[in-house]
Amino acid sequence: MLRAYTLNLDDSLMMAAKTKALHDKTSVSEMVRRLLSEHLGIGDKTAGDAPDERKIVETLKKYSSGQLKRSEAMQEIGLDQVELGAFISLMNEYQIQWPEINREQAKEEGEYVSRAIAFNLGETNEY
Amino acid sequence: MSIDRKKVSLLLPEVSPVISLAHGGEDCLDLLLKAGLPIVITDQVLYEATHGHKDGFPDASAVREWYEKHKAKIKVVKTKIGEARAELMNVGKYDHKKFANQGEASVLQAMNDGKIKPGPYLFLFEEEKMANPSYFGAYPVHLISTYGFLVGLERAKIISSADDILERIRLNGRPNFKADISIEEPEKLINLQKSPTG
Repeated sequence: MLRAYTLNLDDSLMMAAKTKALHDKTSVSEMVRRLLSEHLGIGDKTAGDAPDERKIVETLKKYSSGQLKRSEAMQEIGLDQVELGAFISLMNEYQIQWPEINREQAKEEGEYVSRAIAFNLGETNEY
Repeated sequence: MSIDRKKVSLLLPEVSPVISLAHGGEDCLDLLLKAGLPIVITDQVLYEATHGHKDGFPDASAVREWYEKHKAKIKVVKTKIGEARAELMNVGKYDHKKFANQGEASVLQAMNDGKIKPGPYLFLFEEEKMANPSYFGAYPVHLISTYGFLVGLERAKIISSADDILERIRLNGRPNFKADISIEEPEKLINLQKSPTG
């Protein structure tokens, strides 16, 4: 299970880590996990804790297919809502497809937007 | 429906759409203005969208620069949540985790407090739509996703292709950019729904 911890680090080190994480499209948390796993020789992620990893993948897949909201998926994995970066890293790490756009819904929303623009321009009286 | 000639405003209850547009570049953020819809945002949502600039996050920096450039055109509503956060920051007791997801709560609070006035609104969401007031006073409120917003701009001929913008945002470090696909109706956190007669 992933949990949030506080680390005391130099500002300059954290800044460099964030820059590197942005460049590599990962997160500082993910980098720390990988480095610690390598250093301690216990394998990446939750080595020896396979059921949790399976649950993580299962949860991510449910999010991918739209069965779970993002907040629900994060909660099931044990992530705090502010740890979006870690969640994104997990999605990328396990190569889970991001939820697809519901284009029919977007068309309906687009109609509201274009109607609002026309309404504000005085081109229609209907909104 | 036919309503009083009060302009439809674009309310930003969460930061995700702004952050996504920031990934597309300044001209994508400008699309928020090009729609010609007055923009309303709370102090807390604005804070959440921009505070990361101190940690060197380029998207937060882009939003901050964009806001500074256009702040005369953006209405920022002060809220109790925003003021509480500012007070805690002033005395060094601010805990970001305790204020997670408070942006949307600050919007609902401001609506209940009357700091955001009733009117026709579009609520711009991206990930989850937690509150669906349907009506605010006598005026309809519609929830739209970032992609839906782009589709509307395409229909209004403000942009040539919503998909081009979508692709740009995804390629520029926002691979998770999407429209909401929640299969359940959004939960109503508070009861703001009123009949069209108010």
